[in-house]
Amino acid sequence: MPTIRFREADGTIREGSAEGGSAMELALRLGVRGIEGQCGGSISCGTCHVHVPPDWIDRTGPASQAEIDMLEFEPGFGPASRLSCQIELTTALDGLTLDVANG
Amino acid sequence: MTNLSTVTIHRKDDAGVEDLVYLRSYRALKVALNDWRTFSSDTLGFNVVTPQHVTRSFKQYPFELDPPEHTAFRAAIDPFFKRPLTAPYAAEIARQVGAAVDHLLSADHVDVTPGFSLPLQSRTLTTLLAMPEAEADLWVTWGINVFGNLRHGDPPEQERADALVTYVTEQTDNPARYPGSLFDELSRLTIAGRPLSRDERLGVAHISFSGGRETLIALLTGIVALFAREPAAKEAIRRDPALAQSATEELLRVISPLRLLARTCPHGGDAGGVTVAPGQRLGMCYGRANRDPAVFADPDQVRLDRKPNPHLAFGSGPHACLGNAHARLVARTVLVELARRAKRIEILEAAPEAEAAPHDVQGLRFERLVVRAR
Repeated sequence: MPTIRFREADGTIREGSAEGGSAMELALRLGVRGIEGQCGGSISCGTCHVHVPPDWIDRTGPASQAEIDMLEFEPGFGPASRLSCQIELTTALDGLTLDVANG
Repeated sequence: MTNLSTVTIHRKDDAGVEDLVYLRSYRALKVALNDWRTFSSDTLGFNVVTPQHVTRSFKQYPFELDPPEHTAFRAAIDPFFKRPLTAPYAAEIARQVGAAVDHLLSADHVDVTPGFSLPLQSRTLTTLLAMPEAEADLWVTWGINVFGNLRHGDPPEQERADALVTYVTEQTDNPARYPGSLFDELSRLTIAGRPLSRDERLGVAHISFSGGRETLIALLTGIVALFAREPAAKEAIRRDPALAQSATEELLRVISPLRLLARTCPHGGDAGGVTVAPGQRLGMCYGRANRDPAVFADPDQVRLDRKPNPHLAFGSGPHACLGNAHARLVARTVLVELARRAKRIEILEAAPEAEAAPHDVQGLRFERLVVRAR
């Protein structure tokens, strides 16, 4: 089961593990500030915006066109941006730290 | 900041019919919504297609501001409007929805908009604004639409608009009456170290009442209509309540609770390939954009699991709807509760809205919808 960390805007780290599901779902269980996940993964709300460290992009995969379309005007949007609802948790992501984009 | 109340508004003819440029395509609308420098919201009453400035002397805050003033204002009031993301809040909404569904299922028949959607909108608004639930008894008397066209059962427009201004003034001037309420919070809130002015407090309260009124009512009536017309949708959510989340987004897209707002172009610019002159107002067609076939396959089809579903029902950018978490929660709760408890919803009378204007979509809009639910 992968262990994932979320770094909130003020630097607070929240850590947890999950078998399957998305990074957004894990963040909601951990009460990560700045992750709302309001649409449940339909790519409608953009409220689960995270930044993936550059050396992890090959394991998480880059943002899809639908994610880019959702996030392109959001503050903090960049090449590292992903919607955490679209990051499926697998053992390959064990040790990943995601930076939460919103405060 | 340019005060757009003073900018000349282009008019089509001497009769005073204003010639707005309507943004109907998804892409043009989304780009414009995020370009507040070109497409300004900094007006008093002109952010709706039919200006309402005559009904109030204060702006609606922060709706009628642009960044950078808007940014700090919005950040200050945001936490109050994020309370719908908490479990106690959701439990309170579940109780209020449960009572509304009790009525829907026990009455012989219900005229859905005035008999279900309006009272539920007002009762859940007491939760959002942290006001006593009994206040909703007064709020429902203002009718379905505090502005705009006369709807079934509404008092005259000026009377409705005046009632809202009178109410928010009375509460704003007596903020300690209901501790913890929006009015109380606004009286103690500071932005960059300064308290809010009376006009600012009036303005936040005013949009808090008017912004989520007809919109949420249309969404709730649309949900009942969907379940009545498509029992399979109801059954799908009954079997898998988690589906209510994506279903809510799809209904937001199809119904588009807010179909049209306006922005003003103070310095001129390009709007979706159309050159617009300084002072030109634009109609922002959320309902049309949400049916844009370039973005949504089979746009008129309701697909409860549509993904991606990047609808613009709550807008986009700095002015994205402040009440979106509340609206989503109420809609989701109604979907789950109705699906779980209603065996059958029969339409006794359905009068679709009169023909839609070119910038509108008709969607699931009704002048009148009467159902019998069991």
